[in-house]
Amino acid sequence: MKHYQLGEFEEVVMLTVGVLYNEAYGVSIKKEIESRLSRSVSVGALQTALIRLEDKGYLKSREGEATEERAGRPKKYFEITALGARVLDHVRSTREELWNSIPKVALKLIMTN
Amino acid sequence: MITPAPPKLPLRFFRWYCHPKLRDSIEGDLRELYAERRFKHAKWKADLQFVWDVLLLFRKGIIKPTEGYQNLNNYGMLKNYFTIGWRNLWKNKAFSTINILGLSIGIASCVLLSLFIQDELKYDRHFPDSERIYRVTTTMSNFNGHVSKLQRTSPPIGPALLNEMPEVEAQVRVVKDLSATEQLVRHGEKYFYEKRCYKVDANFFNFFPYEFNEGDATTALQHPQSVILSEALANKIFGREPALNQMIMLNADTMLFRVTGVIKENLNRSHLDADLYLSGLEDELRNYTTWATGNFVFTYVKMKPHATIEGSLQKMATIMRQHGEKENADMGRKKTLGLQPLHDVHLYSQEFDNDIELGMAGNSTYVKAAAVIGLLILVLAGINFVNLTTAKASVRAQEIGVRKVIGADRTAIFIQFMGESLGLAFIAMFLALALVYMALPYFNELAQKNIQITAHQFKFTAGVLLLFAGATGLIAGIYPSIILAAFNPAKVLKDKKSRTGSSHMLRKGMVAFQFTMAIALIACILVIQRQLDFMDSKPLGFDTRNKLMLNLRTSEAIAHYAQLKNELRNMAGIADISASSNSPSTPPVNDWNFYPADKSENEAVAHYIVKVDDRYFKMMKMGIIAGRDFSFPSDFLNSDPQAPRKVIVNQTSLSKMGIALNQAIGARVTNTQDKIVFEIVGVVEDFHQFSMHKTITPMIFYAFDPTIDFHQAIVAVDDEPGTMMSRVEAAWAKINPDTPMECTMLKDSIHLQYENDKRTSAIIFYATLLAVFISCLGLYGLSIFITERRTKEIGIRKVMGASERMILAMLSKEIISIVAVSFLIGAPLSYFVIREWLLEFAYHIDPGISLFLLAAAITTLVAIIAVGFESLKAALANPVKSLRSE
Repeated sequence: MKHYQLGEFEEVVMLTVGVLYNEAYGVSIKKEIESRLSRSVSVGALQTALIRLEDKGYLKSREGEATEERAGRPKKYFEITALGARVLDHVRSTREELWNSIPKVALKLIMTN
Repeated sequence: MITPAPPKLPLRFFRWYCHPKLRDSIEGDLRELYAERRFKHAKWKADLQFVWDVLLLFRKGIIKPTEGYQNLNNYGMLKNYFTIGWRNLWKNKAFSTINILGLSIGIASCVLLSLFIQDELKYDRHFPDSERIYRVTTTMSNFNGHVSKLQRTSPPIGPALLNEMPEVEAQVRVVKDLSATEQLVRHGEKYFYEKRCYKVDANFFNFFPYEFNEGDATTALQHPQSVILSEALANKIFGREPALNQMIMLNADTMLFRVTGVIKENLNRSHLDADLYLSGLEDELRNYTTWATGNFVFTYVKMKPHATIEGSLQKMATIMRQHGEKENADMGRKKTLGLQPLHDVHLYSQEFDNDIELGMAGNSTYVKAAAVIGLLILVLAGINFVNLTTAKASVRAQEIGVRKVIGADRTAIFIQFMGESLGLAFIAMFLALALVYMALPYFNELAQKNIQITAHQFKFTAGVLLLFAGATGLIAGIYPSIILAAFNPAKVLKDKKSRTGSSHMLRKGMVAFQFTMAIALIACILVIQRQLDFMDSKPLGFDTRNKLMLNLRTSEAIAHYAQLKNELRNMAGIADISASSNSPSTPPVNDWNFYPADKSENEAVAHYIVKVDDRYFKMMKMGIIAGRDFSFPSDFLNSDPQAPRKVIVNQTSLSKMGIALNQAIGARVTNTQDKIVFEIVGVVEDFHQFSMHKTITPMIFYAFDPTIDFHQAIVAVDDEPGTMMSRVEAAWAKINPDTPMECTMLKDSIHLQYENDKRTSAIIFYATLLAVFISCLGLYGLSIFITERRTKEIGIRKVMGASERMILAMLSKEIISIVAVSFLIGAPLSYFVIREWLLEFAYHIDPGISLFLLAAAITTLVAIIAVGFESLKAALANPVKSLRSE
């Protein structure tokens, strides 16, 4: 498995897209991240991350319906591609590998401190 | 519920910068968020957040790319042009190299020659009011019809014009020491020989302002015995020390001069630029009252703004009549004053007596020749471009066909190929810039210039580069572009073999033009070389071998000449020593008129006067064909004041004065100036005192006192002059401890007279080399193309039994016929051009047809070499190879 590039924010965005499943578009992703991770997300940062992820092929998009409050502008829904899923899995497994490699003692010490 | 609308201005800004593919969805998000925030917060807060969001969205990835995102414009097409152009450039490396190399050489030569032309044209134009400044010229019309024009005039004329003509605003006079070409400058132990030393009126630097490093321009010349140095000379003498108020010693006068100023080195050029300017001219010229003779003063006048030249000339004629008519008429001539604009001095002074000119005179012919040669080389390179592009056109026919089918119109194709041609020209331009920088030092040496591309020159250089590159790209590109744009797509795509034959004749014509030029230039070189050889080998009428010429310049050296003569005469290895006032190859000083005593002075003939020492003719092996040589000392002592002075004349003098050779001995001649009568005792065979440019002039010689006035001693040595030189120098140093010896081989000095001609020949030689090289490059490219296209034909011919030789002959036949046509045009053309050049020499060769045939032979040979390589490859190739791959 080759080197996958995925930044921390990008990972968060991808996971959120996954969480929202069929309902992942700009505003909902933003709100979800803000509420779950209690950090504010600007539209600009989110959109760039989404564009980048789409360019890398981890996400794909489709145009959705337009509501009145959006003045007829369509929503852009995102979903995770197969490649995206593999990347997420890779990231997760490497993390877990790292977790498992930490001696129990070391972790305990840190925790108690 | 009415959905609240976000603030308009930020929204418009967003819609403007956002990538159109993202625009709608993100705007939707923004609107949704805004609506929600409006619902929760105050309007201003929601607005502010909206603005903030819009600003944060302004980042890479969201901003629309400048080159566009979909084919609403031609950006993609343009990109495609670049790609295709670039690929073609790489695919046909030979063609591209030939094109770019040829063009860059052409452009570089044009730029170099433009720099040369600019340098020549800007002479003297930087002086304030230079358009109102004139040089006073003199035309002498002898009553016998002989007319001579001088760029100098008599001493009192300048001040008189200022006093008597209201039109004249100011005048200034300049005098150059005529007795020597160089001045000896000494300071302490250091000494230098400097060529450019002028004595000037005190107002010189007001009239012709120069910037001073040290001293003050207005007062520098006020006191006698002052000298102003050039920065270069000041550095040579004093290094970094200040030069002001230092004393230097000059030459013959052995007088001390005080340095009162140093002129700053500058890039402006003037024929008045010098290394030393001396004061005190007014005192020196005060005693001259003559309006007839003493024409050694360069006089400049500044006219008032509204003065007309015609009116001024009339007034000058009147003034001349009042002051000098009688005096001149007594001398058998009429003198007319003229005005030469300052701007014309550098380039248009050929009509004047050029042996004594200030500065290094330019020549408008050379400037024109430079322009023609530069453009010619560029045209040759342009022809290569046109030829190769049209030849290659058929290869690109399919591309054009496809483009047209897809929807390109003529204009689009035209623009595409014009663009390619311009692009190529600009690539060549950068290469040319590098070439110019590399070649400049060599060019400067060749052209005797000091051109530098400094900041203010750079603008000009860059402009010229752009101009030539642009013009070449446009002009060379037009024809191929029109041809290519006119392709019929149906024909081109249906029939792969369909070739455009229409440009075939034109191509041949252009190659013929290239070779016409090549033959003409080669013929010119051959003729020039032949002429130079001729001047080298033509007997001059005296013996130039093993002669050392020692300049007697300082009063010490002149006074000690007799001593030196005694010393050297006794030295082993020295055959003889003599001296004269004007040895061959040195500039003439005295030009007097003589007439036979039994005729009137209206028939006076101008003679060059040479004073000679004992055994001069014998040592120089100049033949005395009648009468006798001088006998010393009786001929110069002139013990009997009643007896006329004895002189020897040359053959030309006799024929010009109408004296028969058998009546010459004992004949009396009178000079017009002071009516002294001379008696001819001998006639010397004509010899070339001056270069081959001049016909042999009447000359008169008389014996002179060796202790008074000779300018050169000539030493004839028995063997190897190089080893003798050091021994002569040792003897010289003993006798003249204060004067460094200045010694040249007489032969070298004579050769030096042809330096200009050799330089011209060198410049034409290099131009020819470039022209021939470029032409051959083009021919080579064409031959690659032609043989490429005929590989199948050659293959079939070989299979049918043609030998390699037949193939070669077939391929070279076309080239030979083109060269033949070129010869028919080029030979007469070069003959007319080169005859003009030859006419500048009084003695010149008559170029026969053989020289032109030789030029044609050389060209043919070079052409065959250029074509032969590819042809030979094609002829030797295995026919199976070319026929197999279909």
